[in-house]
Amino acid sequence: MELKFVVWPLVGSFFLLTIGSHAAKGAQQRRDLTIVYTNDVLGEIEPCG
Amino acid sequence: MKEEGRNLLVVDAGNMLFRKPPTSQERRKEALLKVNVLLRAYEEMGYSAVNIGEKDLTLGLGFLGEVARRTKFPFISANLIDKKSRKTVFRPFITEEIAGIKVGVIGLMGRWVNEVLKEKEPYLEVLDPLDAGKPYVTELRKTCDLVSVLSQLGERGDRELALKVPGIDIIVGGKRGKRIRYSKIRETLMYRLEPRGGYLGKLDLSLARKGKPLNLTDYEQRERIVKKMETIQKRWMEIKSEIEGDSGKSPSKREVRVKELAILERRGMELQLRLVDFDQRNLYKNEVIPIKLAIPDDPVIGEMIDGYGIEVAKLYGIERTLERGPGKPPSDAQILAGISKSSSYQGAISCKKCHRRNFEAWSTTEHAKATQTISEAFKKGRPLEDCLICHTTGYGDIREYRFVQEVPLYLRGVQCEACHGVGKGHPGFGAKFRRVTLGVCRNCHTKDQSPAFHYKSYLLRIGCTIRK
Repeated sequence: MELKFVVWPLVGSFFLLTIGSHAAKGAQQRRDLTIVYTNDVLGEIEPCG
Repeated sequence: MKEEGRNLLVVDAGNMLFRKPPTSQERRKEALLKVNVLLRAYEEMGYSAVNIGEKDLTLGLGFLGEVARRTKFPFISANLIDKKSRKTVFRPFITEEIAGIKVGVIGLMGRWVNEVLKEKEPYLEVLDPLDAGKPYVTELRKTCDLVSVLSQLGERGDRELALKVPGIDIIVGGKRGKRIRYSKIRETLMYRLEPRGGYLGKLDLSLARKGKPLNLTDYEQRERIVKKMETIQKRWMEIKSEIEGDSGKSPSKREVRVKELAILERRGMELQLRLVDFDQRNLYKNEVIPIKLAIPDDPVIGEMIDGYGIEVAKLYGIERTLERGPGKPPSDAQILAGISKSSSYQGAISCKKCHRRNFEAWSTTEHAKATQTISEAFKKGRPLEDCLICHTTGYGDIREYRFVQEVPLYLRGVQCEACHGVGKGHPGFGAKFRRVTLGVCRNCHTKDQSPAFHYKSYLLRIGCTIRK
């Protein structure tokens, strides 16, 4: 999952944290998993669409 | 998704193999060919587990057992047991560790299946899913980061499960009920898709910590904060440049601007802190992906389906038209010659005699091309029974078409009679033409198949509003 961060143009003007390091730290610690699921396919191999 | 390098867990909530019991030897052979394709395709896609639903038992336990032995992925059920041994017939759950996340997946089916089993498989029993499922949830909760249930309990059953069995993070449900893409009961996320494989669910999880249960938070909430921050940032920059670019402004106006800046900065700070808080949380994001014909087939699976099409075409003695190409469109005379005297349908070609302008307008529409739009599959000789219900005229009345080749020329496409009713006797004292109400359109333009459908604007697009 991509986490979008807001980068303020004047770093230090009012943010307590440096956004960049916050983002990097957050991204490093996270573990990502994608669950792909289906249900009731009912023998369908050519769904209409 | 695989190419994107995602850490994937692929699961199916059951009722995968059959829709209805085959009614003839040919249909049985066809169903078996289809099952074979499905199983191989599931293996190719890397499914980790498939729950057992009532319809998977259509050809009996012996058949399903044999299927389960042959496939690389397990069929699971925690409450389908052998009456004598009181043991589960299939594996009750699986566990898998993916990218450092240990996941447990339990399978459950509804107790009503006992009614079906009474006659077909009297030595089997389906236990109460809540009673049977609870110990497995408790057991897996001790060792797994994520506990999910693949269920065939129906919408109400899933709710009850989420309420009465704590510790389940995700329920992927099937069986009955209208489509519910998402609901959350306490800490349990519940998903289900429209039946018949038209959609794929994709649930992205981003875990920041290991605590149990996961207490998942919707990623959209975080997105909303980011958007707010962007808006504040934009406004802040506007004011900043306004102040810097216009030093001649009156001191009072300047003071107002400076105050506004300070408010924005304070609000920005609050949001930033909220964002930091969100980044300590476990996030989830669900997406439902429609599987359109426009999405290209995976080459390996596409080949399997082509092979299936060839085998089924042989089974029914249908000549394949793969090598023929589109050919010359038939003339009016050829189409008219194909209308049988006994047919209550007369074809748009007959309507043309009096309603030429309507016919001409209609012939340029998507309705006129409705059979052609599935031509790619048609060329490959695949049976398209379910698609042809809406992509032709007279399905079921003339016959239940299974291949495009079976559709008479005069009934290809969604013609006048598909919406207005059969034409035999018109004009005169026979058939009265039906007014095309929203309900008529909704037979095919369902919310799932035609999400952009708008009654009035679609009516304008099919050329019928022109008076003769």
